Amino acid sequence: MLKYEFDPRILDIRESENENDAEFLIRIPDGSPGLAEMRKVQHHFEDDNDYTDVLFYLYPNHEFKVILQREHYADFLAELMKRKLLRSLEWTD
Amino acid sequence: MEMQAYIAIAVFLVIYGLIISEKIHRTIVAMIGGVLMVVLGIVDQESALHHIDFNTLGLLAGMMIIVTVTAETGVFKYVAVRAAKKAGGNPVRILIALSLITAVGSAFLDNVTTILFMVPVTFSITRQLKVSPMPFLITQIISSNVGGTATLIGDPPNIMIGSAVKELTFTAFIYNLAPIAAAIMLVYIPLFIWMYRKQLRTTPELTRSIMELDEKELITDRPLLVKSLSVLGLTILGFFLHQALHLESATVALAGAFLLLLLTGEHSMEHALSKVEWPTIFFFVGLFVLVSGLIETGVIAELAVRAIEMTGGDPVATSMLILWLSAIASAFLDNIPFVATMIPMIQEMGNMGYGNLEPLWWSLALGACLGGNGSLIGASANLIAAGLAGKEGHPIKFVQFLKVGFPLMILSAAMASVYVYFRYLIG
Amino acid sequence: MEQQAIWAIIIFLAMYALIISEKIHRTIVAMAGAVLMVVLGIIDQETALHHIDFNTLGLLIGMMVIVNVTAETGLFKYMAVEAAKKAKGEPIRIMIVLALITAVCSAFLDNVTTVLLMVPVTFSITRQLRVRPFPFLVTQIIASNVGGTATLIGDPPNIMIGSEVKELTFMAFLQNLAPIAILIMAAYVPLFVLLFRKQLETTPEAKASVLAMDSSELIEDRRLLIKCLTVIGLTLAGFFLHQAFHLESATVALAGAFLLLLLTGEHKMEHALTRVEWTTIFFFVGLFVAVSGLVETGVIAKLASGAMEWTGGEPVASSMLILWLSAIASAFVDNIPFVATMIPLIQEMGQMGVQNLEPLWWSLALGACLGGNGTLIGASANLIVAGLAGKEGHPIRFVEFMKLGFPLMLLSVAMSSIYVYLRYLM
Repeated sequence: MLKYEFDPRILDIRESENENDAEFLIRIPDGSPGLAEMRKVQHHFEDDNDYTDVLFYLYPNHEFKVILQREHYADFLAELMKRKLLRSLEWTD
Repeated sequence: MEMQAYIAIAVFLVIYGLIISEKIHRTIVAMIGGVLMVVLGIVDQESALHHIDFNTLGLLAGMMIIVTVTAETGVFKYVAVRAAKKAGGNPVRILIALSLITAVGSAFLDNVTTILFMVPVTFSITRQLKVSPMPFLITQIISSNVGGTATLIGDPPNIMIGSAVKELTFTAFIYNLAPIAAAIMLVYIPLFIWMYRKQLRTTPELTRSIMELDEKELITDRPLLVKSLSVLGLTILGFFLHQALHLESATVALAGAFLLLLLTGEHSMEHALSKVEWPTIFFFVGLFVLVSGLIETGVIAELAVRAIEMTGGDPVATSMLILWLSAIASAFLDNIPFVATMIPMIQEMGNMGYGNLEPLWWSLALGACLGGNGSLIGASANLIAAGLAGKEGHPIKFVQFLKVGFPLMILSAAMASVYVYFRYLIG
Repeated sequence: MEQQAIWAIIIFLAMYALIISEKIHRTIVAMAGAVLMVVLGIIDQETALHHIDFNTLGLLIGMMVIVNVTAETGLFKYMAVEAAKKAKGEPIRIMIVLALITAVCSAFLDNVTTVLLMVPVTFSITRQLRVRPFPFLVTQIIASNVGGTATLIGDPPNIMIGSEVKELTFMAFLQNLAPIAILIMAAYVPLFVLLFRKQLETTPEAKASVLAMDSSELIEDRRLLIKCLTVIGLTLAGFFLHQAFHLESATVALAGAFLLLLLTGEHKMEHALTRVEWTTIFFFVGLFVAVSGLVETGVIAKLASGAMEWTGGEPVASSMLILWLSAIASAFVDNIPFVATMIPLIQEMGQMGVQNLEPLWWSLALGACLGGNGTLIGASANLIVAGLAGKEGHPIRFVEFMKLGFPLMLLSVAMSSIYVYLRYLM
């Protein structure tokens, strides 16, 4: 299992499962530096040639819904970590 | 008709000015210029198409495909490391070896391509030896321009001349230009050693670390290597025989390219085609159309008349004028548009009854190719090397290059003048 | 001369067989065939060059450059999300709206480009709605082939015909082909609804989440968008007026492309030029040269006189033969080489005294474009969508597609036959 922690001043993450997909609801507070970084994460996954690995849906008030295939779960979290959107990320048993 | 000629001249001069200013990418400027010539009704699309030299474009595209596929085998890195080991890890000897490889490589491949292969290897070797990469980069730039002079496919000016003048075959270029290119390299090498001897010191440990490299590990794909080298060999053989086989050079290059893709399979194709330098190809397209506007409105013919009047049609004066004008112009401007303008002018001089055009063609080729060494902006290969070096934190300064390149360029142009005079103009 | 004609036919047939077999990439086969024609001395390079239709290539390259730059603005994502919201999140309505967007875009852009822009958006929406992407993808494929029929620049066969036959202007294509393309789409939409209605059920929550989406954030670069839309507008105006300005379509497209690059600056150029589908461009080059071998050795002329004898030069019979032959052939083989062969053949028939070639050209265009819907391999756009869908784990099977595509194709060709007959042959 992957365990992660985030800073609620930068963003808020809620995770749910949906059949074979993982779903994240990510809300970014106004004025948070996380917004620009989150957009970079979005670009990272949208600019490659794999269309359905990680999908982004934008909602008002800087809310991102992210639907991703299970096998890209670690990929996505690692990208968040790289962009300093997570405070920690570690493997637990 | 008069009015159209003035518009054509105005468009041409504005575009030329914009290309020199380098404010906007030269490909965009040249294509806009080409489009303007058609949109303003100076040439129609049909005749513009006839002026685009598709033989040049096909040759360039074909060679770029072959080289891109071949590069994947690691053979270029292998050759460089092997040369460094043969040179005993001694920096000055490595410098000379890499220059010679660049010169020979540039004779048979596009200069820019050759530089693109040599620069990364150079950085990796100089980093290991803890010496400045600058002398290596500068000597390689200069060697690539000299080496490119030697063959029909070595440098864009030669490709354009060879493609416009059917009598000048691949073997004719080698027969006429390779001797002087070899002579110039022979003179340059001792000069290189003398200039950089003191800067290139290293320690025995570092030398040993070069000798311990395993170059065999660099060959990543042996079956591909066999295929690439066979096709490259066949293609060069095709160039030697293209006259006898009644094939043009673009057919030979494209035959080689697609034969290689046939052997390697389709997964290489997408990559190889996207690595062709399309901006360069479209720069050519734009320029050919731009110059066609000057040809169709009679401007080039007018210029040719003036040039003949000025030199009185005397072969020695005309050849020397072309050689030195091309050399100086190519040192500071892009040589491709310059040559694109000069070719129809020399052809026009032929139509007006000027006797033997051959010395003029060789003068143009020598001036335009060798002139590229005159400054950092003299040839695309120079700019590419400077760009790569800058990105790695070793910027090549304009003046720094000029101090070395310009005197060497004048020396080579002087040697070329003597060569042209004695071989073609005496008696 | 006879000997050379036989060689040309052998090369051409071998090439065609290899293209159909799909063992080797079609571009490599076509270029190898072209090189053989020149190397064996059937034609020389100079003549071969004259047969390459650079107007077609310039038009394709110019439009691809414009689209590559425009795709970066997020415009297509924006349109799809807006469409989904306008359709109230109802899957069947979204499917129809996306099919209509595909049809309209295909009329003005290359089909392959259009589906490349639509497929990612489709996957994104179907995932959110938790419905199968298959009905969406299939209806888009079919819509792209019908939409592409409507204009000179919509589909490669039309580009090639428009470029070879100077009298057929952009406006002429629109006036003659757009009405029937619209009629066909109008007939298809209810059929699509009928076919897929039951498969597309979703939950109220999924609908609500579609409706709540914020499309305004999708346009990332507003200034770039304005530049792109201005240039696209100017380019389309250029196409409408190209006859009046005495400009050919390639000049218009390339002028638009490099004007856009001038406005956006050079950093876009490298990317836009690399993303042009050079494999397709070289496929065209190879084909034009290979066909030129048949033209120069008189094979095409022979075939034309054969066709004339068969139909007795009678307009109705000739038109119907061309229409149905093109449709059936294009359903199973690539329509580009087929059209490349048919064009000189029809021109040859004109020289042999067929008075009015126009019905023949429209029959060729309709047959070749609409025929693409017959099977999964009928058009490049079909293959591209199938390739992408397979990669994403939703393979489209040959038979599965044919069950829908083939009857729909026959319907559209039947409609076209009536249209051509009533409009040109009565």
